Amino acid sequence: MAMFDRLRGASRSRILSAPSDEPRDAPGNRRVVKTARTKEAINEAARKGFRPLVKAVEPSKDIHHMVAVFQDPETGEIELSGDCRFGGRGEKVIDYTLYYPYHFPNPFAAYLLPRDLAVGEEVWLEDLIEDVVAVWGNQGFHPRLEAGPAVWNGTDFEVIHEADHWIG
Amino acid sequence: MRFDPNTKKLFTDSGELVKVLHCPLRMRWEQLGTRASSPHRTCGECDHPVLDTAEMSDAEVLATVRAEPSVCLCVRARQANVNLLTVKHAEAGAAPDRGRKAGPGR
Repeated sequence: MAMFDRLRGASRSRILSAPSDEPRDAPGNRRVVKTARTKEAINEAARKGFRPLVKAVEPSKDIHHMVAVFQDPETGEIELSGDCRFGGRGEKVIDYTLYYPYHFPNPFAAYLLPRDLAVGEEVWLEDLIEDVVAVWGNQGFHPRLEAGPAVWNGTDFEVIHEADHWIG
Repeated sequence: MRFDPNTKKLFTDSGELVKVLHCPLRMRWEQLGTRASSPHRTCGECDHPVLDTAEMSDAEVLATVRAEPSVCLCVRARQANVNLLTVKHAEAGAAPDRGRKAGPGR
């Protein structure tokens, strides 16, 4: 068997029944899959035996925060407002603007797959590469999901997330 | 109502904990059975009601859960009568305990 055949679905040594009852906001008993965001970190992980699943880092238009800047005309100090119902003190020098609030070191990143990752295994992605909306709030508040559970399907992770409603 | 998406805790506007939402079966609203002339639905797996909190007051939700603690609730991110509690909101200048209005705010 080639080194990473199991990663491509040749083995099913550890399949968790889905849906699992693991918590959705913490790793729980899942294995944690780390992310590397630099060439050096990716290559170091590869040398240690991980299989880097390289992906493009692409900002989603659905991800944004909102801010307006108010400035005290006397002192020059500024105040930020993320809620147009309340505003801020002083003069509004920048109107409410949607912006992408995240910064990443490179336009690529990689999930570091362990050798024995099996199809169907539910893991915890501690640093999500994809832009998934965590909460569809109003006032421009659409933060990205930073971490979460996902199932390995043999070629990629299927992120488990409910951004629009909760039941329980 | 106020809801913390991180802890899944639902509070009344006055801060009283109503329930921690947790569904081990990860049911989604569209999987639940509809009920005639009712906004609420029924879970076919557990055979008990799932209440749509969008049309309920804080007092109604609290009284229902107090009377029947195993009842399930559905809370939506864009629900007009729920504030989503976030820490990041405070960074942009609003009081953190005010939360975020989940419904249309403009």
